[in-house]
Amino acid sequence: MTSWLPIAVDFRGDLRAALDRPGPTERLESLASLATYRLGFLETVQLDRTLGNLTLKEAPGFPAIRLALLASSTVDHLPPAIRIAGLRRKLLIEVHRGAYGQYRQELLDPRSSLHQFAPQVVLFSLTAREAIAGVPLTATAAEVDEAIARFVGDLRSLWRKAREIGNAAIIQQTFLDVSEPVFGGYDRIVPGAPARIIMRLNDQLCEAAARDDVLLLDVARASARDGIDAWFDVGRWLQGKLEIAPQAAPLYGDLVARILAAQRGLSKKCLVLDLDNTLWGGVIGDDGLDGIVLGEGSAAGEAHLALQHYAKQLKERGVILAVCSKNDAKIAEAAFRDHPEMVLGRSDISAFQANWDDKAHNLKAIAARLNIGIDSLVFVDDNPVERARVRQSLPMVAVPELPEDPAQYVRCLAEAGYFEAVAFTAEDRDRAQQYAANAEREALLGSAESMDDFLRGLNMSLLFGPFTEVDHARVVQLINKTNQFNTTTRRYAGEEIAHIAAQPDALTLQFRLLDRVGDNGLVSVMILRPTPDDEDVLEIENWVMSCRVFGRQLEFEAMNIAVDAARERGARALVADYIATAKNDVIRTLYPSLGFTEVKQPSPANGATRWLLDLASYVERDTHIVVREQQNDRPRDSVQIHPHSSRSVARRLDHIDDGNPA
Amino acid sequence: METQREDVPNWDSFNYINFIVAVEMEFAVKFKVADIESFANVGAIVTETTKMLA
Repeated sequence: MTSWLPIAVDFRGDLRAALDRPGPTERLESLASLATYRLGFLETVQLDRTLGNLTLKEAPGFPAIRLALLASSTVDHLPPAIRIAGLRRKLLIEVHRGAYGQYRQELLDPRSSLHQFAPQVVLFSLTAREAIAGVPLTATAAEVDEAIARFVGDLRSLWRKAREIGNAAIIQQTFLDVSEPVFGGYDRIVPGAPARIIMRLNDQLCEAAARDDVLLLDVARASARDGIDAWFDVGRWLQGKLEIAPQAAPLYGDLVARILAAQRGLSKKCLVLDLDNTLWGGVIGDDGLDGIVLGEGSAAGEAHLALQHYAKQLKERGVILAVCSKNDAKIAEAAFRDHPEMVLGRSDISAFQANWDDKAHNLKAIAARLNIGIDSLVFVDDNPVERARVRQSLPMVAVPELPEDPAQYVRCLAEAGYFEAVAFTAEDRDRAQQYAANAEREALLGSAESMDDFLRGLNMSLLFGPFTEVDHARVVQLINKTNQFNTTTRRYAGEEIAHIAAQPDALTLQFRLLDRVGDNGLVSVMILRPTPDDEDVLEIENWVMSCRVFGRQLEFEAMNIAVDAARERGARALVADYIATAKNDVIRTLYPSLGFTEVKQPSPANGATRWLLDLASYVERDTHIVVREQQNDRPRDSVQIHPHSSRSVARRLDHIDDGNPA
Repeated sequence: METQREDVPNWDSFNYINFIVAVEMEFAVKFKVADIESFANVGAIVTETTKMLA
């Protein structure tokens, strides 16, 4: 039932190896990686016992969650599966299991163990039996509705009670229909037939949950997919009043853990798709555009199409799409543009990596490009070798064990529940648009004759000004979050930025880049201050730029502006340190490329080089960016064309006129 | 084979269910509810399992 997880080759051996690791944290890491395999009920119990023996209530990188499980059936067998599914997501879930059938008393008694446990989440696992019990088969529709309304009303007061305990989040399990037909197909027509009551009950439950902001653990839906026999075993019910069959426990646990993870923003964000034999059948490099299997008319072609439709749906709800394929980029992109059966367009794909590099490398590039963690990627690839390699080098990437038959791809991906949601907000809807804007830029780049062409076509304009109070939060966030384009990796607290901005001799610059596709926001920040021994020399204390706008000539225009501003203050030179880190190699040659020369230092600090720019000899760089100065004392939208910028606009127009862009 | 519930420290109904589930999964058999209720010791489970496998 958890078929998207890879099979553990040697579970017992791996478990022993995990226990041989030196410290408890290492052991926990090993158990967590073991939890990413497909485990049956017994293996789950075994792994859970090992986890319990570590007696870790917390561990770095493993957030703890206290979950209370309140049930009207026996659920002793469910906590291990919940904990292991949590471990799969690096969550340490502590489960409080109420005494059998005692949840009402526990909720009402403030001295109960439930209250002492102080759950952050309360999960109600109730059977439909209580709801059906008093309703005779002969009940009228009105009587049934009344009984259901009463039952749901009671449920809502239970939710309120549970919420009163430290504002806990509530999850309600939908009602499993374990009834047998009484009339046959006619059950759905007779108001008092158990199947119909449960159907109505679930309906009313969903409405109440929506009103009360309660999340649903939808075992009813899961059992409709897997078959009721996979979820309910009448023998276990009779033997021990277990409504959830032990063999369903691992999936039950995963359904719970994915909701808990989603509440903490740990759901996956980006679906990365392979192309050949995944998004379409065949190999486009060999078979050509008209040789690939895709679209109506062939069963296999429709199977691949179904995956595209599903990906498109995910995109509409805010999941980012990316491509990672071993292919010639031009040929791969042509399929998106020119194949008539493609459902996904090039603009649906926010990051497109088609090349012959290692896929792990490309996945890292995708995460970096999209500015999201590698652990928020799901990678879908038909090739088991590629899957294994990615799992090995990037264990934080979710890689579903795709079945061999493309017809089953969508089911496998959907069942894994990587993108579990706990809300659907305006922001989600906009996300697709925001990333589409980036994709549009990519598409422009793809269609442009040259890089220069592309940049000109973007119609970029740059707003700049000193730090103002409204910018402080974003300035701090940008400086402290940026690792690549960060010259000194000096970090600042909020007050420090306010302090620097208030100093009259400090020169602060913030840059906001707009283009024809949209506003990229505040994307670069520079802080300059006079050096202690010569106030006519300004030192660039720090300069950061968001990786979203690399390669747009922004660094050139920003330096033009910095030089202008420094000249206005009567400065004659700029100095700057470049302090190398593991992550900022991308700007190793930044200062020399801007005309700075290295200052040899007698005893350089580790990894630091010092650079000097004589303002008298600075040659302004041409760019395709129109510059506007943002006025300090005016609202953000009020701008004035800066003298410097009108020069560069005029110059650019010259270039366009003589048809010879710089 | 003579081991009974009382012989195992901390044995409870949950352990018993796990044990039954383990045997059923391992040997792909399904015990009758009445049998599960009446197994006196490990030997009785072995006998019943062997009977079903025959």
